[in-house]
Amino acid sequence: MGVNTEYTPENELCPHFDDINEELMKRLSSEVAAVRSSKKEPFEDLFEFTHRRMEVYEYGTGEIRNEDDLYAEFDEQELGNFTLVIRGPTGTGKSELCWALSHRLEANGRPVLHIDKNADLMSIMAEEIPDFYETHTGEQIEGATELDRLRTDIHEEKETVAEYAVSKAIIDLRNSDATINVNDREQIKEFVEQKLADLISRGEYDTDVDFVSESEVKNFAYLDIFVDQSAADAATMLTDALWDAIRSEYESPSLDTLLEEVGQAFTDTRPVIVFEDWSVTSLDAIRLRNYMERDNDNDRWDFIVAGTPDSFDELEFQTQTNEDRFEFYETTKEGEDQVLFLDESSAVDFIRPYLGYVKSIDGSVNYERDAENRVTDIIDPGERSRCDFCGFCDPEFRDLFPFNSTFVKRVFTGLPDDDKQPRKYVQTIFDILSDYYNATDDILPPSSSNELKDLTNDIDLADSVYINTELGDLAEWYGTIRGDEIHVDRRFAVSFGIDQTVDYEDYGVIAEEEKIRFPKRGTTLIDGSDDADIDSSGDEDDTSEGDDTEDEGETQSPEEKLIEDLRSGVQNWQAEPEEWDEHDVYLRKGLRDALERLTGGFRLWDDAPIEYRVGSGNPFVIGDELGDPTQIVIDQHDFVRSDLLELLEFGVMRSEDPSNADYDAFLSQTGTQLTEYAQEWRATATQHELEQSGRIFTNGVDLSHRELALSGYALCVLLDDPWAGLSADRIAAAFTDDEDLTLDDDLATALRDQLDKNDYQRVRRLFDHAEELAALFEDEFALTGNAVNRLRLKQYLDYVSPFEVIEGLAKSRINRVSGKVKFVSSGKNLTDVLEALYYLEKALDDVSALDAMTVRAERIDSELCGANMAYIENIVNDIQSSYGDILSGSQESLAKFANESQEAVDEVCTAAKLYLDRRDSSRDVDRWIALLSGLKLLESQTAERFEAAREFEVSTNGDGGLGSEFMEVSDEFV
Amino acid sequence: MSDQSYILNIRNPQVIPVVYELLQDGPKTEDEISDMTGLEGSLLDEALDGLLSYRLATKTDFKYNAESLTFDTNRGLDLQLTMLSNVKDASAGDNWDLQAGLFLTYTYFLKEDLQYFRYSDGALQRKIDSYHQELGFRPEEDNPDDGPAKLQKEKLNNWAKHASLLGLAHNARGSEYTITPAREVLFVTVQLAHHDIAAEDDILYIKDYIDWLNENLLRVPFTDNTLPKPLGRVLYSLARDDELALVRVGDPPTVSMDYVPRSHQNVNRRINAIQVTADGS
Repeated sequence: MGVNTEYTPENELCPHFDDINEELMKRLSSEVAAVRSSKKEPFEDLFEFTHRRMEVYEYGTGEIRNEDDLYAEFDEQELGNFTLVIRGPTGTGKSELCWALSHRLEANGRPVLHIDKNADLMSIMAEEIPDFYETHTGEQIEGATELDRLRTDIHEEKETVAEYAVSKAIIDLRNSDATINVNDREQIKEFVEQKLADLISRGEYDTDVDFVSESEVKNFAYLDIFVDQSAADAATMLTDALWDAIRSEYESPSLDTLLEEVGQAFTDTRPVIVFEDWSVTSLDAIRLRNYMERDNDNDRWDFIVAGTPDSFDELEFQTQTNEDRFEFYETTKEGEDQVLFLDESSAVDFIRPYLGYVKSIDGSVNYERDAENRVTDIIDPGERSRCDFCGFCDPEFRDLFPFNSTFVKRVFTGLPDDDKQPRKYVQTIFDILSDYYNATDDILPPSSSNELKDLTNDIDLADSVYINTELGDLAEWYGTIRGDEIHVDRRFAVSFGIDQTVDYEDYGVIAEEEKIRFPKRGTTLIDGSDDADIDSSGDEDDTSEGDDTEDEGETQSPEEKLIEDLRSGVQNWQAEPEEWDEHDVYLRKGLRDALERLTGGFRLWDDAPIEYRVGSGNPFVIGDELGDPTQIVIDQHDFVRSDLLELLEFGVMRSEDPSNADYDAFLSQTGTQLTEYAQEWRATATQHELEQSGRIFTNGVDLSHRELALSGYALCVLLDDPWAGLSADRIAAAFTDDEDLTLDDDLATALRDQLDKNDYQRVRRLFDHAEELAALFEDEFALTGNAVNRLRLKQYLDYVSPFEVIEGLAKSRINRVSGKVKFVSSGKNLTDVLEALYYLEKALDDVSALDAMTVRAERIDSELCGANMAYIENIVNDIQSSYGDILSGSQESLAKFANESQEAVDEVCTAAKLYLDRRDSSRDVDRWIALLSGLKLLESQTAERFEAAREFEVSTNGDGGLGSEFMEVSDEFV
Repeated sequence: MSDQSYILNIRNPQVIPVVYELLQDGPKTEDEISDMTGLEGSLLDEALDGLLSYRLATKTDFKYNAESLTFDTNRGLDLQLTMLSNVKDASAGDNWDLQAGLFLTYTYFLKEDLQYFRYSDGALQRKIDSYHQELGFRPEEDNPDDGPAKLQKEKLNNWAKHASLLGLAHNARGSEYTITPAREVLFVTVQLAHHDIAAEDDILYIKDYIDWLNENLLRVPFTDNTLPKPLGRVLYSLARDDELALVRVGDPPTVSMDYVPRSHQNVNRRINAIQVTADGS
């Protein structure tokens, strides 16, 4: 048999799905059995076609009973009411069984009233029961009009009804034996109003609607109106009083009396009423239960009641009284989830009619069945049916297409153990089918449906296959195991458009005429080595599923074993990371460590001198998790399977055997993708910690850490030598110089005089961080380790005043920079360095220009600048030789000045000019340079000696004096 | 001697833009450049060699003149794109210019799907060198007496720095790099290619995009319609962030991009084109 290439399903879809009836798809995939059970044309046979007769447990004995056994319980000649109770967890087929029994009873002439699980009590009483009565008797039921009036009033006059009910209930209770004390009538009224709203709202599964419950009496003091009554009794008494008040006003019957009246109208048969979800009637449930249980031969009803175990708790339905009128059955054993009629072995046949129904309409698909309506074989397609002329499918999957038996079986086995129930199974299959069938173009194969990501699948293929996600998915879900290989019928690849676009050899896969062969993990295919045909039954080569790595097990390291165990769950982790803890731990570890490497240890940018200490945390969150502002969101769906497997392996190794984790191999495969995350994290963390508006600076200051990097370093340079000014050349020279920057000695002395001790220490402390400030500067302004980008520096200096920059720092904001932001080289917190700059500005803020500075600078400028120190030295020598005998002891200062170098004097003169030129500048930075230069000038040794020398006088001679002679001489030679 | 040096001998390509910026104000002599930038010695030589090698400047009468940029995208990438473009222009066809090692080395990484490397990896250096030889690219060292230049550790180190500067690679730490095209570079080149091809709609076929890249900037392997993963992954990120879409339009064969998940609305199951304005199709 070869692939029929003459007919390929149009648009890659089975032709049965080309014009499928929307209503049919909805009904097939509806989770509510009632929808599928509808006898509405044209799909009136849908329920029968798809229904597989069920088996249930008899309560108490645990005996297994089938539908015939249950049906036999309904004896038309029975006297009194009879109730069949079906209990079981959600989705285990209770509704299905209700419908199966009611269809059968109806087919045998019984009048059946099926109460839908979403019905509300008022609709049941005012509409469904009266309609049922009228249909079967041709008459209107007494009290129906009043019920309808009640329903209308609750809809439209809820407040009035509540007010009336509360008032009357209170009066009735006061007139009874009860002692009551009502404190807040208004709140009781509002409470009842809400309960009335619940009464007419659509019922919800397992939700009890009662006027007042015990817990409500305990929780709401205004409801606790009874003196000397327990909360439970108070709840019952208040509920009864309210309900009686309403009934008396509307003269309406209760559900039990209504049913009694209706039941007695049927004299030649027994009517059947089906409560698909018991909880909807809970408002009247106790009366109803009492009605069911009462021993009265005139009662005529057969009840079928279904619900979860919890929904019966309050009613104590499992009473041992009246056993003959009650039969209890359970869809699962108590505390278990497994139903009797669906397991791994029956999963394929169970789903066949659901999928086959679409194709049964034109006669393409029909089945042979056994007595339980189970599919035993597929019958050849009817003549001129679509399947008859198409011929594309194999009989094994003709009804299942676009699935095969392996696929649907794996869906069932892949469901979580507590979800291996009929509803979930059918729903999952139809969700996949809906995705496939609803896609307008670019249709993903069913094997790549997102619905499958939640399911487990143990097939483990060679890594090369997973490089092509669709190919890997195809093998995992459609492929049957044959020794070391997985085989897929090639028709699926053709139909899904894979065959036309994939070069199989690229992935270590061999495509033969009829099948595609995939290698299992750890194996390689040899062309032509396989001659096994596809087994159309879909049965596996059961010697090999899950044990293909037995041989490897002996030599596997614990890490390799762990990786192998975890591989098949990575797609499940991708669907629900929080549900797959172990995978989650390793995958996150892999991501974290890779990002650490790619960011050079979480440096905030390329070669940044600062890093963010992520510690044991992660710089990311996955999917919808909430993170902190420095964390990026990584969408787990950004990974293809092959990369995710690489990540898993890397993460396991980093966790269990870190030194043997192969960064090179891992990053060679995934480096680009992970680098994008690394770059995104850097941008995010930097933005949050440093760059966002108002992060470091006060509002309105539009500066970045780049200006700060320049300012911090520039201030160190200036305070190291204020007379050198603050040009690009000066800063560049300081950077390339090997000398450490320190606070200038003379300036330090001046500042100690000017500032209080605390402020002085703050200035000194800036230099504790000089290395870090240099590192920030280097990062932004250096071209290499010893070359500064002077062009850039000049551009910044044109508009940046370091003092204004640090003045813009906001202490409270600096402190919000995370303590995790640290300098790489020293481990210091960035906040410490920023604080030092902040306090520097505050400390220097107290420094002011002094008259002394101006006097000294002007004197130096006018008297000293241009002096020739060699000549002065000669003069001083002459003076000493002429006046040596009369010179006082202070001649030493004169000699000291004369010994000052020319260079020192020139420097002082330059400083004086610097001060005088800039003290009144319009630029903030210039005024600061002047101020600091002036301060240093006050303590400069050369300047001091000059001052001392010009004050020098001959102590014994009052006219003239040496000082004036010295100055005269000086002036002459300047 | 040519006025160009072998480009992979330039160890500090980061100085090139600095000097180019200076030359925007007018021609400058070497001394003027040194005075204004503070660059001197070998660093200055590298900057000037780099300018000439990347054809960003010419030298006449002892003055360096800036050439105008080929691109005008207003995205801060025009210099890098021009540098790539100039090198590619100079190495049209198989007549390798001295600078073809720049993009041929990138081609090697794309061809081998090697997304991470250490420049100190001797085996890798030899493989790239062999690849250069296979293609017939055998540049002379700056000193002809040294014979043909081999791609060894220092040159691969230099190449990595050039590639980082040009937005083609990312320095992880120390000697470690990843092949990661900057997303801005890819985004802009997609726009440029789409504009140059003058398509009437917003579709740029990937084959046309690769042809445009190969004609103007790089040499991207596209064997069997397989788009190299580093490019494809970044295009995926752009699609994920709604900056473009990866779609299938018309008849051109689909492009193999197995490494790209199909879970996003901007990424079709089959891909042969880039929709330059993502609209969620």
